[in-house]
Amino acid sequence: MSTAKKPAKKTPARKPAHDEDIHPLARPFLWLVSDGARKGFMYVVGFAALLSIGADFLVHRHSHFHFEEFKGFFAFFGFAAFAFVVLMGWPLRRLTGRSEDYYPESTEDD
Amino acid sequence: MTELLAAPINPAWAILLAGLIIAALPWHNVRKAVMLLAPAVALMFWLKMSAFGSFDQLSIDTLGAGLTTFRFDGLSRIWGLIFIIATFLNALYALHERDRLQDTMSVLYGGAAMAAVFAGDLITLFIFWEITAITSVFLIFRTGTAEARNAGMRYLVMHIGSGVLLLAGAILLHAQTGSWAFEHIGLEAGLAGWLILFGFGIKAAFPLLHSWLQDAYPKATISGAVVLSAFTTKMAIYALARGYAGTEMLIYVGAIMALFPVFFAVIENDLRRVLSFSINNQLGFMVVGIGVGTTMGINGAAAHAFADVLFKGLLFMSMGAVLLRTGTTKASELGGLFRSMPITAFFCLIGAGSISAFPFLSAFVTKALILAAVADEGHWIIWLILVFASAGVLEHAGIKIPYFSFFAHDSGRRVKEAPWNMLLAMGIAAFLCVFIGVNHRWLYALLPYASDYEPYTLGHIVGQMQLLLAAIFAFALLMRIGWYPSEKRMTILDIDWFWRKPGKALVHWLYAITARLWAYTMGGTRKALGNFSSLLSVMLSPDGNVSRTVPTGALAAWAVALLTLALLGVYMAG
Repeated sequence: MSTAKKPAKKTPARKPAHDEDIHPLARPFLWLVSDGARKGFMYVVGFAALLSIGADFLVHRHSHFHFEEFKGFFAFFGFAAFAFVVLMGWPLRRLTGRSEDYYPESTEDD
Repeated sequence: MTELLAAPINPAWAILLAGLIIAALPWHNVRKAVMLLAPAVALMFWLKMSAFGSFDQLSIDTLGAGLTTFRFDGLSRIWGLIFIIATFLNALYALHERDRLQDTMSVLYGGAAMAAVFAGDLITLFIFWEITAITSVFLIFRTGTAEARNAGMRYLVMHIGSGVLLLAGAILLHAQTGSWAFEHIGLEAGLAGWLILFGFGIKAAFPLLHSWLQDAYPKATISGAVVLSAFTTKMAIYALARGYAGTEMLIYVGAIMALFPVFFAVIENDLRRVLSFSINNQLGFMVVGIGVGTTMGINGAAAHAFADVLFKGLLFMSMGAVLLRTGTTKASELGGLFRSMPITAFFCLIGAGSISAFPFLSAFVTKALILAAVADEGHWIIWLILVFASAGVLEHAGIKIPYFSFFAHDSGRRVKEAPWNMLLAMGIAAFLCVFIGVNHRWLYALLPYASDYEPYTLGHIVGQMQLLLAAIFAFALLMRIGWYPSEKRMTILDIDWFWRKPGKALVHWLYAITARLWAYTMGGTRKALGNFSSLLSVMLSPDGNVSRTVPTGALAAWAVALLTLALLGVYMAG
């Protein structure tokens, strides 16, 4: 099984990103994509996740199953599930990924 | 006169009539006004209903029974309302489009789906079931590419086939019970039950019957995909809830549906196709609820279907706006669009948060019903699968859709913000997502069964926030260390590969053989024996003919022929 025959094309930037092209409503939020915010995001979310685990020691979660009572169950399960889904993308793409024109019908009628 | 006004009127008639009127209206503005007005009139009819019951009974002698075209009860009430809302949002979203055919078809499609939901018998259901197929396919055709036409034909084959199965099952069921009424069917009904289940299952995109969804929806027009996302699959969920509540098999079918699209959505590059996988995954949750079949399970399926029409419609609308402005929804081509489309980005984030079930957004109060129903019945493995799938939902619908289009690396595209009517439609959908999330009692009061479930306990919020925050942290971490599969332009194969590649080759081969055999026998027997060896070689090497086309249209023609036969059968039976 081969992966896509065509290498991914880098999209060339259409236009230089002139500041005046930016929507006025977007300007107050440009800091969201600054290098600092990008780097800090992981730590902020990580810290918030830790806090939510900590909340388990203060709040009683009504649980149906025994394993749910484990402190931080949803955090650990969520992290593992998310990582598993994403990492399975690599083998799945090797198995099912083909070039974009694999079905030769974009140019011809059936 | 006052008596006439007080009589119950099927809201679907308002939409269907409007569809017929706008088909004849050449004036863009008048047509659009009718499109916006029709759902308002339908809503008036819906609001006027003060009691449950079956109305509009018709007696057709050839069928040997009466038909009920308007049944208003706990189940059809909520579906009717969400279809009315969807019809309005679709009209608003497509306000700027000048396309009479598409306008007509999308309105008739919405009306037919509504009429199917209000149908009290299987014949009425079947008629509108087929009308949804025939009208909706134009929303795919209108893209105008060969790719869309072919996908539309594949779509039509499966959907007409779904109706044929429904009708065949209905006829069998009628032979057994002597009734056309659409009530609980279940697998107890034997072959009839299985046929109808498969008919419903095609439209609900059951595993292995699902490929039409991921194949056709991403190739539909901009507004077409929004319209499609609302009706067909949710109508099928309604039919399953009506006919197959408590069918245990559906628990497992639904769990598979919720699970497998999650993996494909990670690697899919076309964001509208990601959303199609997401439809499939959300339907899985609803099918599980129906399979559990308790009042909580059915309530969960109904509530989640209601919420899904809104947040999935919203997500499709935002991707449609991106497609309109940039010409693509390929993740590898997008990024950074919030700089030029901040309002669309904001509404998209609300849709993403809603489907991911953040507290105070819609899915938090609807999906919880299904999970609670599953847990109450002690299905711990199914419950774990659904929680797992919820993390997957956050991945593809909650993060991937908004992140790769509006944030991520800047593609350098500086486009205009979406037109005002699209923004308004998105805004209303976003408002309703928040409204349901906050006023869950309003939605719960519309559910088929009374519910005292309380989603806003501190424990539920803490558990859900743990899941979401830890999963978002996983995303940030995997991106940082470069383990996240980057967006790549490619085709991801699905189950339809079997009929689009080897299946198609086989059909071509058989066609070539038949054609040659035919020509040979027609040509007479003059050199029959002498040419036997060359005949064999001609038969087995249809080289030139492989490239010749057997239209998928021929398959559709076959399906329609079968359908006609089935219809004749009904009249014979009568």
